Amino acid sequence: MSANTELKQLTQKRYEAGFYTDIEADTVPPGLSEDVIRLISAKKGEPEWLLDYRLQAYRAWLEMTEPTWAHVRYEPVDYQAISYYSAPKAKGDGPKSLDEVDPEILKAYEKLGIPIDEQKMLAGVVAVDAVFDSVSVVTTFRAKLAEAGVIFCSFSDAVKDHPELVKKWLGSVVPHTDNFFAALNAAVFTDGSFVYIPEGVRCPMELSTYFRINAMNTGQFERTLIVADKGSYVSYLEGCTAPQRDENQLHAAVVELVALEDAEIKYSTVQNWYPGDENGVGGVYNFVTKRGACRGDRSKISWTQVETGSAITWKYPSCILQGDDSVGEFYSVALTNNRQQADTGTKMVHIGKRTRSTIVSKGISAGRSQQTYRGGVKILASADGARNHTQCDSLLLGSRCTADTVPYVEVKNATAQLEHEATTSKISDDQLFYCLQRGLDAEDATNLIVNGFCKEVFRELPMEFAVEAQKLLELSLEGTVG
Amino acid sequence: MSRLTTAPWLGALKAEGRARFEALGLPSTKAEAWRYFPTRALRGVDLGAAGPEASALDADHIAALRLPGTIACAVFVDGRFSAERSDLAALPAGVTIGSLAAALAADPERVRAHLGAVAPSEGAAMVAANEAWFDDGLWVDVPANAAVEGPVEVLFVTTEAAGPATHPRNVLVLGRSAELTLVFGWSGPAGRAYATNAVTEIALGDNATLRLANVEDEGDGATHVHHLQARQGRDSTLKTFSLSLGGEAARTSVRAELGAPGASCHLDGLYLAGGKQRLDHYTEVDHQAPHTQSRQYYGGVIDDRAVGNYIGLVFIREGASKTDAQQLNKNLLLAPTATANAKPSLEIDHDDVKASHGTTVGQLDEKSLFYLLSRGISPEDARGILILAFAQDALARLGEGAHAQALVHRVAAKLGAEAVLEAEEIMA
Repeated sequence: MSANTELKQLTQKRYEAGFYTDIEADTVPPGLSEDVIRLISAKKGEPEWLLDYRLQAYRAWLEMTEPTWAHVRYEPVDYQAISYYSAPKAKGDGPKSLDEVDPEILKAYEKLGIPIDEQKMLAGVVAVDAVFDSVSVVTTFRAKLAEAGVIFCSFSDAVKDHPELVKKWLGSVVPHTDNFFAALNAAVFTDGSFVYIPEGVRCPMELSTYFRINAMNTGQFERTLIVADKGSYVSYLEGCTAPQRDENQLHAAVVELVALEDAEIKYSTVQNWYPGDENGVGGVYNFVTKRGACRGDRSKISWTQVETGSAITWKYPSCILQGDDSVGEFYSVALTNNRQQADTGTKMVHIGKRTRSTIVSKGISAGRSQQTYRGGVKILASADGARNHTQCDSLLLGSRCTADTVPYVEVKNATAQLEHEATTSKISDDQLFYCLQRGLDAEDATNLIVNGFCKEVFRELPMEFAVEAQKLLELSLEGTVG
Repeated sequence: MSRLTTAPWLGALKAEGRARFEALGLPSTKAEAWRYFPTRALRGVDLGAAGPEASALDADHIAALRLPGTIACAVFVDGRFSAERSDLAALPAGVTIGSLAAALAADPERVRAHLGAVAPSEGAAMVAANEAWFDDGLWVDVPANAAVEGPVEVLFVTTEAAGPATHPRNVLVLGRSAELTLVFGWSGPAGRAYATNAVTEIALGDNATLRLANVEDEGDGATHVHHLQARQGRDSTLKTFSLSLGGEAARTSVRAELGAPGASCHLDGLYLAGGKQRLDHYTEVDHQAPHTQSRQYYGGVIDDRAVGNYIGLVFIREGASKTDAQQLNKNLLLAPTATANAKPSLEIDHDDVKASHGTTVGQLDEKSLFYLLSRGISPEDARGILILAFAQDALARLGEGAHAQALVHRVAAKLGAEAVLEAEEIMA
């Protein structure tokens, strides 16, 4: 078998999460206006201040234009053709326990391998918030977490039960005027997860949210807010999938992280939205704003992401290092195949003294995909002794893909130390030859080499996720060997 | 009024340049290429104002600027060629180095083939302004297989009498297997605001080699913008070294188009920014053909409240197999208020390539300093040794010869490390 055929097979692996769940849904007709926002707010029974916040964001959004600087090309999004709210039809007041959740939804999560049945899981491994279209359907282990004082619930519940916390932190890291997609999200966000870790608490288990877009012609606009109070620690995982459809779907999320003194947040993502077919038909537009603020001294925020899905990705998880001695990390593996386009990277803004940041980005492009690493490291005049190290490598599989690297380095403090290195190449013939002559076939050899290439990042993932990420990578790579 | 020939094609070219500049306006920092280089100082300046008919300049002035080891020298005063101040007698027969205006008068068709063709003004505001208002510049025509032994110096001097802006347009044509070394020197009066907006077009024939050291040492009130663009033939080599010392704000951009297999370029540079200077370097290397190679090394020493910028772009086009591209930018910040901006980008559309880039920003290594102090070296000399060593990493790429040595001395003098350099030379 020629290596070419193997490569082809490897890249043409089908999307396993592409099924659709047929359930009754309560969907708002497509279109966006102040009335729609009032309707969403009313459906969710929100307080006045939140509606005001939404309307303020909507008005700001109307004044903004869609950013065009990213290296991605897509058909313009018709924001009036999207439905901004779709929820599985609730029985009465919404499910009180897992037994009341629509079995079809449970089946969907089961199919995806997401454990939302507490009994069936290994005792206390991960607490899950499952978000189905616009609403959170179930959050597991809430009681157990409450014992430790940890608040982990859907955003809607948080607005009801902990309005003071939400009000205090909502928009404090990503203001509603931040950018086009963040403003849109602030206007129409429907659900998401809220996490608060009280002072000195080490969250007893990993928290996880699983996002699923199911309904047609809808966008998903979730909002995640994680606040780690002084001296606390939390590890949070995020996963996402969508059915296979010929239309593009919009996902415009906002994630805000706040770490106070000595707190640490570890945020891991395995992003596997439907990427479209091999001709670039369909797929999710993933336009996400993720930002963490290290507000307190010695705080730490670490982003780890494995990006294999989405037709278009526009995503830059960033850290604002305000507290002295705070630490920001960004570990990323991005794999694009077929006609996928990804413009992704990070921004580290050093404000506090002796702040440190590490960026490790591994990009793999295959097929006819386009990938751009776009990163910014800004060291302000106040950041004495700041330190940054950036390593971004690209691997090209196939002669029709592209890999761009666009780092911005801006240093306004002489005591800063900063290095940036980047390489781009294909899998070396020597490495491949070595593996082949040891008896591996071309596909396994490629997988082995690609996994080695990504190892630095996978090492940072929580264990269950690392295994999943590795599998996903193999899946997405199927058919690329050549 | 321009003193150029009034050939209709030239008139049309200049009119087009003017229309484009008027449509584009001055570059704004919103454009990625000009992100770190505000053109505020040029706002309100009448870029098209005519310069003086004749400029006075002491004979000693040129003598003081000349570098040792150069075999010939072409002098441009306020943007115009000055035959009486130039010294081009030593050039080999068949090699033309002189005035573009004169070449346009003598053999317009020869110039027409290259003028505005290597560096088109489309979408490039400052190139368009130059196209609209140039009235002279350097013309170099080296025939096939001719090699000019020894470097030729080209001095661009702005005098007190100059208009608000000069727009030299240089066109360099090297035939097949031709070889030439040039040293450009840019200078002007201190304490006066003026602008230089130069464009250099370079056409390299197959297997031709051009080495070009570009020394920007303008007066402290100057805004200097110089764009160099090269189109390279098969197996040709371009080596540029951009040394930026003077000016209030100076920008040197180089674009190399590696359009045929085997072409290679080395784009290197060093910038020493002090006071409130803003020194900017922008490079574009376009690998369009297989087996092309590029190397870049830019070093920056930034002091006081100065800003040093490097933006580099490497394109590798589809089909450019076995391309090998490297890009490196290193910055040394000497004062807490100094700023370094760097953006080394790669755009790669092909898989069978090797490309890497890197950038560093740092300060003097305390351990190295301590070591030198512990050996009884004074703090000033210890700093001088380390800063000079950093600069020499870049300067090593200037090449051999007395002119290169003289430039190293000029750098050492600006860094206050001349004594260190002399001591090093004695030791060697």
